[in-house]
Amino acid sequence: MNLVWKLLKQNISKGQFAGFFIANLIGLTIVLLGLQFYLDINPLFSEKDTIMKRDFLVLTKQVGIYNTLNPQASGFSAEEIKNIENTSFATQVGAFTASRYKVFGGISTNQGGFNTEMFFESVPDDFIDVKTDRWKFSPDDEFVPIILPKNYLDLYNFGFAEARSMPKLSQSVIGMVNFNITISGKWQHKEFKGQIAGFSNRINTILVPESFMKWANENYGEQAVSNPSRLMVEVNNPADPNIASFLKKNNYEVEGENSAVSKMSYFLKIMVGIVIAIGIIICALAFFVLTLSIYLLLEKNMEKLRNLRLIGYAKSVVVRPYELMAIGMNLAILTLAIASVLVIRIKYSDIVRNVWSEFEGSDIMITLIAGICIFLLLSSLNIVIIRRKVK
Amino acid sequence: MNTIQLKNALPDVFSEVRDIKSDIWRKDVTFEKGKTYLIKAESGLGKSSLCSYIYGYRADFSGNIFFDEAEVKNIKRKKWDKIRSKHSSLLFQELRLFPELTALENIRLKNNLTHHKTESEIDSMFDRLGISDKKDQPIGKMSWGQQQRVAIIRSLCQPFDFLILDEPISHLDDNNAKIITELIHEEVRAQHAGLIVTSIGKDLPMDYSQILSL
Repeated sequence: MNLVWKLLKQNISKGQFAGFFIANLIGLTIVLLGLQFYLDINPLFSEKDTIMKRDFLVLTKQVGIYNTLNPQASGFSAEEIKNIENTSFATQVGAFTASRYKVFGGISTNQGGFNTEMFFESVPDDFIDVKTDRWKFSPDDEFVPIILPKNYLDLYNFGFAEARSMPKLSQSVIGMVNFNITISGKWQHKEFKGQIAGFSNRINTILVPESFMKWANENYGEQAVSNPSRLMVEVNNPADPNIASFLKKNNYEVEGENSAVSKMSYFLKIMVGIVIAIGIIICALAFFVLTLSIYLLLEKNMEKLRNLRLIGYAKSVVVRPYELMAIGMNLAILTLAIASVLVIRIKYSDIVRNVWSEFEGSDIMITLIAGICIFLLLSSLNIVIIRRKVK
Repeated sequence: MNTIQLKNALPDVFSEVRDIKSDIWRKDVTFEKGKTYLIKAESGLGKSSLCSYIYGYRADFSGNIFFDEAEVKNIKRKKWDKIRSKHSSLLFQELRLFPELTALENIRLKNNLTHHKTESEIDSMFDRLGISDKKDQPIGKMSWGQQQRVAIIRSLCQPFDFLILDEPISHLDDNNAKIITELIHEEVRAQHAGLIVTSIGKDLPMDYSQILSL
């Protein structure tokens, strides 16, 4: 056995190091688990919707007798839009444009088909994050991309298909189905194929690209231009209390559960933040324990270290056993923490799948890199402390 | 390293003392490679301080000490590592052996660093000093005289230009002193090194080039 190590391992307190080891293992596991859980769960609140990760509110005016009798009043005037833009919480405001022409949509299958009168709306493309390059239109195109509310699919799958014993359709299957769309107005009509580009939980309307809407309104639009009845507002913080008071003051309503989803996402962030902070505190305390243990150990063995230096051993040689010991422990902790995260992740994946069947989980890479960074940070701090202590 | 030169050196603790009668403190003294020096002193006159200054682990003195041209206070830590394993060897008065290790392990700890002696050379030194039966005994369980002999063997397990022995035979009988003198003499001559021995009464019996009183 290496004689230097035989000397320097004297006075190592197994209890102290075991304490550090366990505490740091728990801390690091919590940090990495919190991070991984956040990365895994976050898409539930953001990427799943075709409307993107940013936080949006869809604003409408409250429907009352006044609006019913006076349709113009239910829209947002230019001045009102300006007011919303000027608030502290809104970063971007986009208006819904309604179709001013007639739309018929339908599906024809071997078993027959159905046709219905419908409508389109559009929002500025900037508010849409569809992960296909299909979200565009030019007048020569035969196809029009469409985003439907997720409710429509649910309505079909759990209502219509159930009652009529028809097959249920998944989002990807629906994406392959073409609808027949006819738009008409100004004594002319044109036929298109509609293609579902995605489903949205947030926007309760049938969306088409703004370029299509503009072109169609120009060429087929019959009704007069009216103020937009719905606005999309991008907010920097959906939990901002100013929003609620502003809405109340102006009698605006937030449509659907949008704000609930945003709030949940916000709370998720807060919760994960708290969990990670607790993990970091535990890590920091564990690191403190290790630092104290190393100090104590060095202090107890200072005479030996000094004598080794005096018989000609270089500083780098006498501190190496302690450095290797610290790095070894940190490495073991990192490995165990990552292993624990992987095991716990398998467990919680099953639970998450019960409520969210499309759960795939994100890459473990970011967590791995974070773990390695913490390992490098702790180890280099240990090395600095040891080298400073030994003269 | 060919010379160790002291120029007007004085330990800080003596800075208040006015009339110092010493051949070394506040004098210019040069120790040369190849020669032997005996420094006689009563205790408390800075004998071990002198050794620690020359060995670079204390610097609480005024004046200058030079190794050839180099001021010892300017020598970097890494350079000291090299000096302590290749150019100068010190037998500490307090020995500085490791009580947790056996006698042989203490020797190997040094020799593993320098690779100066073979195992059989080490064995024969243990034999000559009459402690070969103590080789595997922990230092903590040996008498001071036995420990002194182990420390002497350790100080010989490296190449050196100067060998400094701080009271090498304070706890040894005359017969052992004679054997140690022979051993040290052989080593010093073989390496053509300088020898500096301190004593508070019991001198290592040898013909010295110069005897100084501290």
